[in-house]
Amino acid sequence: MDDHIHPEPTSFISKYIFSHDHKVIAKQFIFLGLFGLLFGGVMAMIIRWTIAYPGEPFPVLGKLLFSDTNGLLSNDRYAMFFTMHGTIMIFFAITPILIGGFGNFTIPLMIGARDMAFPTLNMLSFWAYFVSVLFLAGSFFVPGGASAGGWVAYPPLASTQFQAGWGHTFWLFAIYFVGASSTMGAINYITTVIRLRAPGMGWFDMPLTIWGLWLTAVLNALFLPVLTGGAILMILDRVAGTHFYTAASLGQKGGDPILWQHLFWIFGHPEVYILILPAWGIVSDLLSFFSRKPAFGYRVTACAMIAITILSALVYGHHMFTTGMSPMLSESFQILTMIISIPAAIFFENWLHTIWHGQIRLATPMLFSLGLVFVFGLGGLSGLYLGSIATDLYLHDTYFVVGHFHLTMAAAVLFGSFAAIYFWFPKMFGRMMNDTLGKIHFWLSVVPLTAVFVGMLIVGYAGHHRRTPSLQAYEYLKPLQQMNVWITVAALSLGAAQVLFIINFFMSLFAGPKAPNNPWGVGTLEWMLPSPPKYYNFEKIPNIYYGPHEYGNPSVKDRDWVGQWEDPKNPGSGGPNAH
Amino acid sequence: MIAGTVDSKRVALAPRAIDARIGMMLFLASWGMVFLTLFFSYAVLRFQAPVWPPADVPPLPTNVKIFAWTNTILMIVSSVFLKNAFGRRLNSPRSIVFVGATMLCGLVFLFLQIETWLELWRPGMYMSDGTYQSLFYLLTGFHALHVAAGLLLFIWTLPGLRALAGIGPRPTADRAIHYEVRAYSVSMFWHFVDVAWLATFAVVYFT
Ligand SMILES: [Cu+2]
Repeated sequence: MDDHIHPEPTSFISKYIFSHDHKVIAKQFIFLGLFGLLFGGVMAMIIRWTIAYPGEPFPVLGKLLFSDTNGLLSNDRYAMFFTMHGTIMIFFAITPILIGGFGNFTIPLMIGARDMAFPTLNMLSFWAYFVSVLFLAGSFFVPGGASAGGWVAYPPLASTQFQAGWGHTFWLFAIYFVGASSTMGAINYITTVIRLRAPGMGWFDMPLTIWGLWLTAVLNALFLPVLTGGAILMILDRVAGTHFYTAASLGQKGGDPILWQHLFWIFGHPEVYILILPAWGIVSDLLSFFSRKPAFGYRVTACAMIAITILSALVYGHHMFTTGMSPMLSESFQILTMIISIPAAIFFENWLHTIWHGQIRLATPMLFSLGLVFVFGLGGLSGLYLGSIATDLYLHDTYFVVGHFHLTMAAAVLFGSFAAIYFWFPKMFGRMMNDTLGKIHFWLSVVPLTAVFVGMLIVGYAGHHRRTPSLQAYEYLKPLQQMNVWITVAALSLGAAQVLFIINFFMSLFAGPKAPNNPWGVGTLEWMLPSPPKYYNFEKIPNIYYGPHEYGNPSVKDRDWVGQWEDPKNPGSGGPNAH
Repeated sequence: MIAGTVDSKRVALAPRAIDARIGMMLFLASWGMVFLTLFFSYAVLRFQAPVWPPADVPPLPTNVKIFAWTNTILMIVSSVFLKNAFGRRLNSPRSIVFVGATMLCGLVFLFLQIETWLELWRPGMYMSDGTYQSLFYLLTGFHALHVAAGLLLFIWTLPGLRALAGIGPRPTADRAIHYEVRAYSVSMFWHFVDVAWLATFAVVYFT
């Protein structure tokens, strides 16, 4: 970036629509992501309703959406719904909120930069993403409706044989543009962190949030293109009649459906870390901030995250144990998968040590961070059964898998997103969210959420297949009906609790109390700025003297935190942008 | 970067130029993964076939092989030209001449590539005939798209190169950096396309 400060744009369009400002782009991503969360969430409710109450239309929405089938979700639409639920939640809810949204918002602010390294690319990243949203939304309206081949889109289920319409092709276009958007974002994030850290900020002076986002960007840059490449082959199979994934016969004419599984999971396993690493980073910081203690083993946590990033590229085969791969290969994948538990356990321990003997402040962001630690613990432990071949062969494609990946990718990432929203809302919008409402939202979320996904582990262990719309079709599944009713009741309560969040969000946005510069007493750079920060963030780029978690420093008397920007030779100076 | 904060060593390149190089390298690493994905797919499909090329596919005609070899030479030569264009500062008309020579190589490459496909279509070898044919057209076609993109990008750099060479009004210092960054990024892309062709050539014609 240049040393001069560019003038602030004045027209509405350049300020809020085609904005180059990372803070505005962040908000665009977050609003789109919250909308996706709502959409995918309602779909989940309808899916759960259909399993628990076969033959009863979903209240209100059922009659509106499925008037041709008496308000019931037909089996075809059931498949479409779980496909789109997965796609929307992963690519159009979590990705935009945590990576597009908080990635954009926190990276320049927390490393002391005025904007991203490539602001125009940043804007393009959002608009490529928007094109993707249009394709996905459009796919609902083409003849035959949206894709129903599952979010993993395995051929031949996703081939023209079973997904005849344009719905699945649109899905692939949407994936392609998500890939383009993520690549642009990743290039920007990586370069920005390498180049624009404030003077004095070494790699190990960065907040762990930035570590998580940076490693996510690395994985995004390297592995989303694999999905893009796979999608190109599938688009050609569908529109040009090529034979990459066709299952006619191996050898002369047909391709190999398993090839897609390889490509999908070479991308897909890193993808779960793409989603969870930002949440890990954010929570690693928040646990320290709200325990008023430095993060325990900061460097070790960062290195553990690096180790996981590297390992995540080497384990994809554990999704394919049932495809008949050679035992030597599957055992290698099993061992590598199990090795991931070592760095994972290390930073999990570090989290616990961080809060140990801390002066814990149970504000809403802290509650959600602790919630993440809890549900991620459950999710991680259930993963061990899927990583080892012997148990996976039985559990494969059951609700156990659904429960596991929801605890890790959905529940943990959702809590990470909520923690981030409650934490940075004051900086983003200049107003405080209601803490009491936030706490109620947390408790009304964590209890049913645990019930839903642990319940899924149980029915999955009993053999409930993940894509079965009705238990009544199978004698051996009938006894699981009542359990599924309870899961649905919990799911509906979880969904209802989110209304509190929506109320709190919009109420605070317009009428919340004005936020001070540093409401939480935190020493990272964004909190030295006014809330919300000015267009160019830092009038003068600060020098960095401390790490991100400088608590209980004896040289400062009147408070327990020290800002990263505070000169120890001139204590209490508050730095160049002091209020 | 902010003036006065680069304490270690003064670098000759403008900070923006360094940003752009890092960004471009990341982009090429990322995009290179798409190529690797296609090669990986080729390997997975190819090693499952008992005979390759499959028995019902006639061997590639000799002139197709000649085209491929010619194209390989063209690509290498074009990279050498390009290296020459950017080996010095971009302030002489010579760099425009070398970029022009690079573009000419690319144009002939594209022409021969299209000839290759026509040559194969004539006896009736189509993309939808089988896995072998699908892979052949996929890999050559995907690469050819990059050559075409590279040519368009070169056209995009030409006004800047003219200005840098002193043809017409002199650009401001800020503008000059802008033009250099653009030209250098496009040249990185072209070298990437060159390497991608060598890999495509090796995979398609020799495995
Ligand atoms: Cu995995």
